[in-house]
Amino acid sequence: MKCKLAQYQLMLDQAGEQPAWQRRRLERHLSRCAACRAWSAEWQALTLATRAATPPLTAATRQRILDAGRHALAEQGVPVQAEGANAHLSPSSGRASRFRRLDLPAFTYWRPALAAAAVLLLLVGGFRLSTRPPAGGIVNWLTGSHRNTAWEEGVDQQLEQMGETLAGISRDILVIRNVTPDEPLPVWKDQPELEMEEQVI
Amino acid sequence: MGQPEKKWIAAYRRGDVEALGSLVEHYRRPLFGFILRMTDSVADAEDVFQEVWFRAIRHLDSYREKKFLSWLFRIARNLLIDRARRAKLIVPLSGTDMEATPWEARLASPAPGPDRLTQGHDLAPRIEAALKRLPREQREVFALRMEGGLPFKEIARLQETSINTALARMHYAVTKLRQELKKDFKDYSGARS
Repeated sequence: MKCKLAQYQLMLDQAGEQPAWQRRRLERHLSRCAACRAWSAEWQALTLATRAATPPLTAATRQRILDAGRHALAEQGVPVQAEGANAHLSPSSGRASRFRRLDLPAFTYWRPALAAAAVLLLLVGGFRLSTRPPAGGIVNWLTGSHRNTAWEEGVDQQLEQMGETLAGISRDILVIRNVTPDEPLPVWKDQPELEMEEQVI
Repeated sequence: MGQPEKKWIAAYRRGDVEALGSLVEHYRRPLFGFILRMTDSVADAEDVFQEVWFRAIRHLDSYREKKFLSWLFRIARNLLIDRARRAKLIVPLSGTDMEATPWEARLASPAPGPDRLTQGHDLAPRIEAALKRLPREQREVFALRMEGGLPFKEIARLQETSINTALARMHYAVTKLRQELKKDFKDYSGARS
């Protein structure tokens, strides 16, 4: 990398306009080039010295600008608010200003409220999905007079297929255990008969 | 436009003059610093600064740019050019030979005023004197970057040129300042270390 290009990139870097990959190239160059390191140091000194010397604005100038602002508002027919009425808009108050009028700290109430709303939304959404009403409407569904929808028929078919698959798996297990599937399943002969007493209420 | 600017401008439009004060204070340092570098004295700089705000207040409804500060810099730059043009019209009546000098070179005199020499860091008045000897475009890039904190992309847009030209102008300016302030830089570095 040429020194002039490196110095251009140093200026861009200070302005925050340098991509990361170019910065790495610049760092490599600076590690090898004493002249550019000196240039960089003097550039920094120049920046600091320049910025240190800006004097404050006189109160009279500031007042003239505010007077012009009042005059412009009056020309537009906008009523000028009394001084101190909007102290919350001063630069130091920042984003907490709206909450300060209510004597509440910022971020105290809106975050839990947002979280509660999200949880409620999830619960309602989940409930609606799990208790999907039929096409005939909620009344028919409650009275049991609804007909199966296409969605429910699809679920039934899938359940039947699952049953067949499970039966197939149990047949395979019997084959592995040398039990002929056509033979009746072994029965526990000494199985005691269960007697149930009738309960008199 | 950032959030505080929006809020202050909206509040001012509703009649809150204090919000205008906040806006002026928020942009005082970059804007006033830039104008100071481009004028002869603090008094001149204050005149231009307040004129920038007078114009901004008058044309606040027509403000459409993304960045409020860039808009203020544009107004300031136009004002500074107008002042230099007016100076050009007045100067021939005084019978001097300044007509031959381009207006850019007469935007500010080469030497800082006495009020400027007595303030700030020791190095600052020397930088200022050296800056006055730079061509206007180079000084403008230097002031917009160092005082205004504008990125080179924005400076190029303001000067209606390419980013490479803006970088080259800055590089020339820094190179000339380095030559003129060689001894001061050594003292400054020694004092800081």
